[in-house]
Amino acid sequence: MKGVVLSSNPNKRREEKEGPVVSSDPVTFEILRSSFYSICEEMKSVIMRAAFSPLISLSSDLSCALADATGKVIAQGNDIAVHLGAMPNSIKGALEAVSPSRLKPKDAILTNDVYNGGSHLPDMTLITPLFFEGELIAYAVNRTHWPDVGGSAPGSSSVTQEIYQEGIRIPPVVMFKQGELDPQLSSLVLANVRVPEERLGDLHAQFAGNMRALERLEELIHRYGLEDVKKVMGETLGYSRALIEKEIQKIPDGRYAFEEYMDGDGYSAGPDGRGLRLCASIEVKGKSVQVDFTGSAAATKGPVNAPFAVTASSVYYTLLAVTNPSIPPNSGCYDPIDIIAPRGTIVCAEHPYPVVSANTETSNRIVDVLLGAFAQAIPEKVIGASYGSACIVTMGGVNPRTGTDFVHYETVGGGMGARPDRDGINGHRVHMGNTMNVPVEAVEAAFPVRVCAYELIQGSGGRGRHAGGCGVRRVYEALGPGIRFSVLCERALHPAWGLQGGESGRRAFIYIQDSRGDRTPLPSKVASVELARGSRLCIETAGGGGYGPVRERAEVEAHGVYPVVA
Amino acid sequence: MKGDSTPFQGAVHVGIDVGGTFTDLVAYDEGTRTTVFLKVHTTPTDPSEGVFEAFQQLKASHARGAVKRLVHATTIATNTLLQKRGAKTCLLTTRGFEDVLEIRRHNRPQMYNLFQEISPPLVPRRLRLGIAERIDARGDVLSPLDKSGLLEAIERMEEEGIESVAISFLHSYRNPLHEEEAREEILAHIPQAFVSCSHDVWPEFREYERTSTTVLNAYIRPSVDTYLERMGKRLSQEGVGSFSVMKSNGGLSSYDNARRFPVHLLESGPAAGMVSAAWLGKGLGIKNMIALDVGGTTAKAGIVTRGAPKVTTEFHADSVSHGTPVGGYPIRSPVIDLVEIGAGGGSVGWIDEAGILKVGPRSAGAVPGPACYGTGGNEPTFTDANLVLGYLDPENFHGGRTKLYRELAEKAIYDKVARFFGWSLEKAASAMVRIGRANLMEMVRLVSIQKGLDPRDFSLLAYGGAGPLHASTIAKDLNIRRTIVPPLAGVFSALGLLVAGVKHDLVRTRPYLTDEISPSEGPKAFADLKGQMTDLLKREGSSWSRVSMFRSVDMRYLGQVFELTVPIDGELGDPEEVRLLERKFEEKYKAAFHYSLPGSRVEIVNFRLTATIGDAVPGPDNLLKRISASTEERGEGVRRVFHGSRNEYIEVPVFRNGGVRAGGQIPGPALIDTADTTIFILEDQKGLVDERGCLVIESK
Repeated sequence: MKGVVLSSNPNKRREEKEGPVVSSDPVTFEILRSSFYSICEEMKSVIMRAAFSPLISLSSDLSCALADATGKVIAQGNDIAVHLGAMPNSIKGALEAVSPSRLKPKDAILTNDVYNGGSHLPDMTLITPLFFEGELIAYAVNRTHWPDVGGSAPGSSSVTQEIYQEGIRIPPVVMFKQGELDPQLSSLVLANVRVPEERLGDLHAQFAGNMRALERLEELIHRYGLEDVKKVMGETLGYSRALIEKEIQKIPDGRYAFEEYMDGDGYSAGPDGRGLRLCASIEVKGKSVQVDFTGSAAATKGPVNAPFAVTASSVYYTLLAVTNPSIPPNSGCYDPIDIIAPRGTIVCAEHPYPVVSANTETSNRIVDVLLGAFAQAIPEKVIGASYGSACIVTMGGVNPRTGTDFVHYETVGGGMGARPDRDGINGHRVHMGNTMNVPVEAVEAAFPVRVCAYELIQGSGGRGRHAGGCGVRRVYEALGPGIRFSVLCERALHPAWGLQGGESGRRAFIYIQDSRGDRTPLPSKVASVELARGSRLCIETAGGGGYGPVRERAEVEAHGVYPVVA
Repeated sequence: MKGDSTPFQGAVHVGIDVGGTFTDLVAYDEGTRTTVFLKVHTTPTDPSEGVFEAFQQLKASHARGAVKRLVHATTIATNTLLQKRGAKTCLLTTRGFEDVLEIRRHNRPQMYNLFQEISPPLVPRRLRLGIAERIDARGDVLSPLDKSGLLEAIERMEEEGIESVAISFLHSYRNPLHEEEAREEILAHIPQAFVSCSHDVWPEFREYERTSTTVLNAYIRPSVDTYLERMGKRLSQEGVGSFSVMKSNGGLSSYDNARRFPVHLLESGPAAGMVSAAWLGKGLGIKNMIALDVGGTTAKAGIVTRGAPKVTTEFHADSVSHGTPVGGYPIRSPVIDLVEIGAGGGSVGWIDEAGILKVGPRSAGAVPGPACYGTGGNEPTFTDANLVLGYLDPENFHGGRTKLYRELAEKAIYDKVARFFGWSLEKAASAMVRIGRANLMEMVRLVSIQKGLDPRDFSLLAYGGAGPLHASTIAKDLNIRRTIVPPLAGVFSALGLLVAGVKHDLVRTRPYLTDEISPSEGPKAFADLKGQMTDLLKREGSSWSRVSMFRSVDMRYLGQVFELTVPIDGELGDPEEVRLLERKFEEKYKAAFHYSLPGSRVEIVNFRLTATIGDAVPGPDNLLKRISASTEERGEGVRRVFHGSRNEYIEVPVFRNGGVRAGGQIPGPALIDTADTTIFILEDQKGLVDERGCLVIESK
């Protein structure tokens, strides 16, 4: 069943006619257009306030969007990058499964299907059609990370072998019918997740967010009239598209290819021990871009296989980042982009391959590959490779002080690649995710763990005219027996490369140091290993790549920690 | 008011607010019950010059006798930070954690910008020195402070010529022993050094935020100290009885306390404005207000509910650079909650690559300023658009202090906007006004709707130079029933200085599960806080008898990562009190998040103590001069203004401040020119002047 996904944008529309982008009154256009974006922000704040899960309330791991009657995303909040491409794909998947003609006012479709527009199972998408006087004019959509969707491990995030270990899979179903939660469907879903009462609350919060979009849209229609609102919805797509096309035109035409290897999938370092191949060939032609991932590794046993939506998000993110990050994201600006991702590879996961960590690991490595390709065309807009990961550390066991179970989940920052005009940022979350760290004092107060060091690794950033950011060392000591941990990290085998003569950064290094001081190195993905009492787990994330030859660096010392040789 | 030179006869209270462009002074005389205000230009290189200039003018015109007290809202702390002119500072940390300051919370302020800047750490790596020592989460010493390492660090400080030192060791909120030992040793070697310890500045858990707060305190301390000390000396030579400073929490602090904890002064000026708003609301009997302050480059909005400004516990200073977020420097401590955006009279109109008109966030600022100022600006600004449409009087702007050149505004709008679209000047200017106003409206949404507050439950209070012109339109569009423009709208913030009381907040992290806390632990935590508070109050020259105390605790369900603050009456010395506290927490949690988790274990995290000393605050009836009554108003002429939706000029009656009397009704449309702002009343609205000179705008 191998095939090729030809187009990233499910609602692609190739209009080549020239003319003004916006024919509405430009002032009405600008006010309505920014209102659409502020509706997305408002949906988000409603969900954050009403959600049961503090993860949602505080880490704001959610994204909101408005789509037009055909399902094209017309506005999307400045949210999580890995949700960018997932929005249009999820809407498309949902509207194929549930025909719009069957939808009634205040219905809502729920889905988390990773093989049909989803990113990973904990990301739940809820889609509500918005009607005005009987006419379907738009959809409100939000994608919200549930802290747990069942599966083999609490938190639904660990090293898995098939999708069934990652939690419950929900194809598009009408979960709310005319404002009422379907009692049978919801009981089926909630019977399959941990702490179902809280998830029920999250689901209601998601619905409340979509209802807010309906109210705001009705207000706009009353003030500006239905025709103007619909017209601006359409023109908003053309507007973002025109902006991105102008940017693409500035990139010299040509074909730019790059390839790299991921460390492995938690079970092995790929078929030949070199890791898993990721490659992309970017063709820029006039106003359009085609990204072809043909040649990337076949899907693998561990959970690094990227659903298509994750791959698409990485492409959209990278293009916005290397052109103009202030272009308002919507389907219009994805229009000029074609993505070819062969089915059954690690950039287009198929059933039943596991996917859960592609969101944090593979996605960031795809960005580096794309940056490597774009560097050949527009080096002044591209940065060196970064640490390629979110570096997720989970720990669990029994807390000897309270006698109760504990689970702890955190991310560790690393080095960002050097920029053409300045150093990379040290110890920093990069690219596709952006949640915060957990304070050392909070970890130590809650868990039988001591943090022995949390520092930048001096000299770990790749040297260059501008240096890559430094990686981070975080060291944990087990204070009780039976503590198990998992790590999902990257770039232990292949360092972050530099650009324009800049040097590579230091590789990631993960090891256990026992109480006698002996070290046992570990691979960058580790599933459920026991850390003996008194032993230390040492995480050292990778440094970013440098930019430009090191001899051109004016002053080394002035940049503080950066690449002073240790 | 200004120009009136009746000599004062009683005790005199003076408030001086230093702003970006003007330094405002408000003085109140208990004897004649008169309020006087005056404005001088701010002197950026040494703001105290402007302060004394204003003070001397007051003495010359009114206050020949002694001034009882002077309250100051200062920009010295903010400017020291913004201009990065702080002291050469050294940071001592637990070894292995020297980089906590630089790693921050490791997230980034902008999602997609590869070239983003991050606020650089205020102490570079070579001056962040780790010392071997360790205390655990329960306050037990795991390894003692390494004295020889400390001595090496001190040697390093001496070599480097360090002026100020921040000390932040892990878990010092729980046990300050090592921080105290280190401070003692440093002072023994470098007696003139300023030493700020994290357990002293803000003893709350979360090492990055506590360290950041402490480092910022250390960084700005020498410069704030010099400034306040000089000012204090000079004021006492001038016979000023007491000198205090407005803090970010909306309370006053003696200058002695302010010098030790300058980090609490960063939002001094904006806090004064919100105190003013709350005080006026109380006087008018209005509990809920949205305060909107629009100046030249920024607009701020804040919320007053039940008579008090909304307060938040964390604030990021210096978090916006050239209109983009850069993270800033987090400060833990209560701060009046404000939303600030880059929008104001100076916001520039421009056209993006797809041919769409935008207004702001870039501002022409004070230099070169709007095109119509004639000071070299050639970009069209929000003020230029308002002038071209006839809303502003070129001869009467800022009470006639600034002359505006209409032809320069027209040229800028024509060149940069109208020509591109092929529009008339009026159409281009109307477009700029609509977009600029939509930005302000978005900000009002941000503080109200997006925080779950319905603007229909609020009145809009508009002040600052550029706010009152658009407030009535914003109110109408957001269904806010009533708009209030206070008298003295341009110096309104300074009024807050005269009416604020002393306020100190203290915190201490002491985690206890509510089902495990022993009867002695709560009282002990509060006793510690009370001891620290006594020390602060001593420096206020105040005794406990006049002090009101408020206790509260921060609580959460075990395992959660955020807390809710719950006020309490007792000290948790008996189990009944603790049960009551659990119930209060559950109620508050339910109100905030629509659910609770009955049966789950609850944790107390922080203990808080707030002390306030309310001075005899003059009410609005005293501070705002009563004005004589009248029943009808007649305009003093008309101005032709362009009506955007009708696409034609209409004639609007113009009223002058001073000519409008209490009880007077002004039917819209109308323009009111005051000494420092212009107010517009829409066609379907009417204005009512109350006896204190507040203009209340409602629909007809």
